[in-house]
Amino acid sequence: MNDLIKDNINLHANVKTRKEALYQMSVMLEKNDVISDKDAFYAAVLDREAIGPTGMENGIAIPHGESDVVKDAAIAVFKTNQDLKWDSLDGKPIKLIFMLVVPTQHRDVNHLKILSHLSAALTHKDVQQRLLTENNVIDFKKILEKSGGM
Amino acid sequence: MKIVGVTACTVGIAHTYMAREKLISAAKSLEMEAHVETQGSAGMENQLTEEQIQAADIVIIAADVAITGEDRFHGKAVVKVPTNTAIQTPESLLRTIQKKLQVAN
Repeated sequence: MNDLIKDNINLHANVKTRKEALYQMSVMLEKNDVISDKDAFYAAVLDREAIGPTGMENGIAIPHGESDVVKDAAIAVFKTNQDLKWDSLDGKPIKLIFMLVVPTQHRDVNHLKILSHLSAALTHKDVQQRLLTENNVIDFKKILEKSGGM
Repeated sequence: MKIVGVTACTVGIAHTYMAREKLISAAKSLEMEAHVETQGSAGMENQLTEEQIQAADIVIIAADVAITGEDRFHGKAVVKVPTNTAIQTPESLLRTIQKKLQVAN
C-alpha cells in the first residue's frame, strides 16, 4: 500500500480555527520528520490559502503546501472535534482536513499521482460520508484505499 | 452531447483532479460522453486524442491558469470556466451548455 499518510493523522484534533489547524498540522509534520521547518511550511500553506478557497464540499478541506522544506510528498489528516469556519465551495464549515504536502524539487511522479487520486476520490459523496463518520485510523485508511484514493 | 475537457489549477495538486472527476461523474449521470485531460503537477494525463476532439460537440476548459495546447481546439465551440465551477456545479454547467448548443443549432 502506498501510504502517504503514515503517522500524520489525528482523527480527534482539538483545534478551534482554520489557522490553528494548519499550524498544528505543520507541527505534526515536522515532528514526524516529513518537513524540516514547520514555520516555513506553514507560510507556504497560507500562501496557497490566499489564492482561493481550499474548503470543498460537505465539511472537507484540501489545503496544500509546496515548499523546499518538504523532504517527501505526504498527506496529513485532521478530523476536528468541532466545526471550523473555513471558506468553502458550499459555505459549510470544515470538519475533515486533508493537507497535501509537496516538495518543490525532486518530485516523485508516483507520489503526485497518489495525491491526485485522493483529490478525485474525495469528490464522491459516499466516500465523504464514510470518512466523516470513521474514527479508527486503520479503518479510515482502508476507506481511502478502497475508494482508489491511496 | 460529446464533451472533451481540460482541467488545470494554480498548484496542480488538488483542484485539477477534482474538476476532472466531477465533470466525468456529471456527464455519466446525464448520459453524456466525456473525455477530460488533466494538466497538473504530475504532467499531462489522459491526453485527448485527435479523434476525441474531432467528435466533440463542446470543449470545456476548466482552468485557473493558461493551459497547454489550446490551439488543438481551433474552430470548435469552447467554454471556459474556473475549476471551482466544474467542482461545485458540474451538472448545471453541462445542462446549460447543452441548452445553448440546442438553441445555436
